[in-house]
Amino acid sequence: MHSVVLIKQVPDTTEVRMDPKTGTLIRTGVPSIVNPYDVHALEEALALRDKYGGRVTVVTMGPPQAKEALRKCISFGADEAILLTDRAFAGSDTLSTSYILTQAVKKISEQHPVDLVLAGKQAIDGDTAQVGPGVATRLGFEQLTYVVKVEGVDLEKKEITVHRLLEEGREVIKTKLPALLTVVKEANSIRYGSLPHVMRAVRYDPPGWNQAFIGGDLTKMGLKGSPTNVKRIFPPPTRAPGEIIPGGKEDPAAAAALLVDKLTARGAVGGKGAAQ
Amino acid sequence: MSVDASRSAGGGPAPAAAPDVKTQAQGATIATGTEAKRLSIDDLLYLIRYNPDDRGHLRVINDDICREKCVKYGYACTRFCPAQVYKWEENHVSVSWEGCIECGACRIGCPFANIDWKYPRGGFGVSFKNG
Amino acid sequence: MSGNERFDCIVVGAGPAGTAAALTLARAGVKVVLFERGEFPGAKNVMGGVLYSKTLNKLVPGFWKEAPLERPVIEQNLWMLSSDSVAKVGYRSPRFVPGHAAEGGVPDEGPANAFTVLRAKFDRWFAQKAVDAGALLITETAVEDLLWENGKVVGVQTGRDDGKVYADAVIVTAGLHALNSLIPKMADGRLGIKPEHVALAVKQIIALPKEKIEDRFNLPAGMGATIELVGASTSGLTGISFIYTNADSISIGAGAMLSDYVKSGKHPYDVIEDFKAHPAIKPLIAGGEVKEYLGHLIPEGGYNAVPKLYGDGFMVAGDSAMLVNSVHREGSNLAMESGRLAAETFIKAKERKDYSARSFAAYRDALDKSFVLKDLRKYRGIQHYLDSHPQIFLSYPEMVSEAAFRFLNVDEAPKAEHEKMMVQAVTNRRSMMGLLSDLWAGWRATR
Repeated sequence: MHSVVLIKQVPDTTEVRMDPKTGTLIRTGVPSIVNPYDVHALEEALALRDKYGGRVTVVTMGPPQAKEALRKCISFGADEAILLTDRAFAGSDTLSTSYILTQAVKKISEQHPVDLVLAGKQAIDGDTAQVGPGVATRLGFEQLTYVVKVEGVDLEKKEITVHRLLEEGREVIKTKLPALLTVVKEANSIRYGSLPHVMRAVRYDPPGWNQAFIGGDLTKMGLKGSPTNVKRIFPPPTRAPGEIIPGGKEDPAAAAALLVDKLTARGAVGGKGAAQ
Repeated sequence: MSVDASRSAGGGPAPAAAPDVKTQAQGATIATGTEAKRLSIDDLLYLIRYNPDDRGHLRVINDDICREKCVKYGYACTRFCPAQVYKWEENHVSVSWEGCIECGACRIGCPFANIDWKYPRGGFGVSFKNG
Repeated sequence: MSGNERFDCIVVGAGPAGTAAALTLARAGVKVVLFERGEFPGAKNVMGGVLYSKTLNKLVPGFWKEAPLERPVIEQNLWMLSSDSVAKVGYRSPRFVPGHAAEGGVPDEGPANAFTVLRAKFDRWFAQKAVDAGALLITETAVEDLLWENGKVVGVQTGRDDGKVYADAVIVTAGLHALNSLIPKMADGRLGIKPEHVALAVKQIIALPKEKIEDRFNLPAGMGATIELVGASTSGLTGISFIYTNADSISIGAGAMLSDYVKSGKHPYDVIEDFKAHPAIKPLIAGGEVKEYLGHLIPEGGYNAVPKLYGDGFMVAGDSAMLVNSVHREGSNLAMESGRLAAETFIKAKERKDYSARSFAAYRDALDKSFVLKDLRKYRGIQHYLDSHPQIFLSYPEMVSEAAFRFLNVDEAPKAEHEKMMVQAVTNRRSMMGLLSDLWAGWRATR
């Protein structure tokens, strides 16, 4: 079984600040990390390889610095990690990015047919959750978003069964391979790479693939292929702080009563449905 | 990716909700004219970058020793630990290892050598931006 | 069992000592792996922030033209704080910063005597030098134990699966705590670090615009100053505080003996906040934004606390060997020099293919002949002296403050009276004999 994991190098958003005057993000000096959801996608791919055999290939599009993110994936145990890098890719929005990644997956398939593509449910910098589904659509793969568990793969029948995390609960779906999964962080906990993997990662130089190598329509790539316009970036309005009701330790009954009063006043509780 | 707002509620660093949750890093603004606001330990810990592990690296070995012998020191670690990892809670010392800045003062300073001390696993723990 | 490759030498910890060792080894063609537990070299490393140039310039000639340094230090100050006043002594000289005094650009001559640095940035750059020379740097990987065979160190156990690595020798430069956790088997009766042997230092990085820093510290453009403070800066604990100017921030911190912290029950974060609120300090940092809070233990045991520095298959350098000169607040240069000397010793041992304790004894000899142990030996009595003369830190600054006030205050009293009052201010707090005895003991301690 061959899985391809799509990853993105992102600024550690917990370290990003916004310029209050211009509304733009101050990224200087902010460390880069592998998008945390993508690491869970990688873990899922590695777990599937542990169980069913095969290989794991990681792909990212970005500047040469993104090699660092790819090495990180090798340190967890990925077999190969490819960097898509070309001036023609610069300025890509999610539409163009999914087109370029699709071309890359097709190219990878020429050598090792791809059974599964995995990605994080979204990136923490753009938060769009569009690229994974975009790639699935272009590849014509089954699309399974918000995957919280892979129940199993039937290699004979070429089928995969997954649990999707929905607001109302979980949905269990079986579908044909090849498929594309986007993974939520509840799916797994990240392994601690072994020393041989970590040592391999340090010396690993990810192959760089350019536009000429992966082919495709130049007008669908980079700025030309990116119809998205960012009109404005602004911080969300600050929410009022929550209220802490004191005295819970000394007089829990009184504190609870106060809480019920406040919630009732807001219409949050009361009526038949509230008591169970 | 959420930021762990529970830490601001007071009482030192709350256990992080998930491994990828880091502290919210906004500069502690102290500028109001020339009057600097006094920063609390919670304010200070907010400024630090962590890669928290999902397992602790610090442990009080024997709670009885804290209870019975350390009263006269006012529970020493709860006082000298620069990241307020240790707090006295009713009858024992709690350990919020997520906020540890890895100085190791507790290991040497505990008057009863009652702290099982290790560094976090490689790659986890505090990650200083300036140093 | 493990299929991991074998190295000539393993270096544990990519701080100044470990990187200096790895760099020296790699340049000599030694197959060396450098382990670092942090996300990157420097991520776990903290110091006040003054780096002396001479030792580094031996390792990376012309380093100041490329290294991430903050400011060349043109001025050094000692301030004595009383509760509301300050007495200042300082020295500024262009001789500290040859070439740098010309504004703008990076000078060809130099380097300055010292630079302020931020370790997370500096160590990363320095470690890259070792990598460029051919060392294999493995980050995010903690060495948890040494591997022993027949009483010899033969490799390390890392905290990862399949994590053993073997080599002819291991150089331990893993900081203060390595002494107990990594090398308990080298016991020679002087193990176990005591709270009296370490200072607990906390520090904040406070961002300020360049121009504000230069205005407030009266500095030429791009130049830096250091201030060390004694007295009311450490809330009555035995210790020293500091203020160092970085490019666009201030490093401000306070260090005090851990034993004093344990006794007093004070919180380190309160000590530094009190220090910042002192009327003489507050204006220096006003309007600044606190960017980071850090803490660290500094080995202060001095010469008498230096452990056994070598054995069969290993050597110990840097903080792991307690090589810190607390009197001159030097540490990173001693670390670099000790790391370099350990590497030189290994290179010679490799020619003989002899990695025994007898072979590595040359490391101790080299340290003895270098400034590292010469300086520590010179101050070998200082620890005991400071322990037994806490007034140096505590009441002397108050005394100086009182004396200065009486001398300088214009109140129409005759000047002769002023002088008398000044002497009184001093002798009220400490008898004349006591003073003389303090001075005598201090002089002896530093001989």
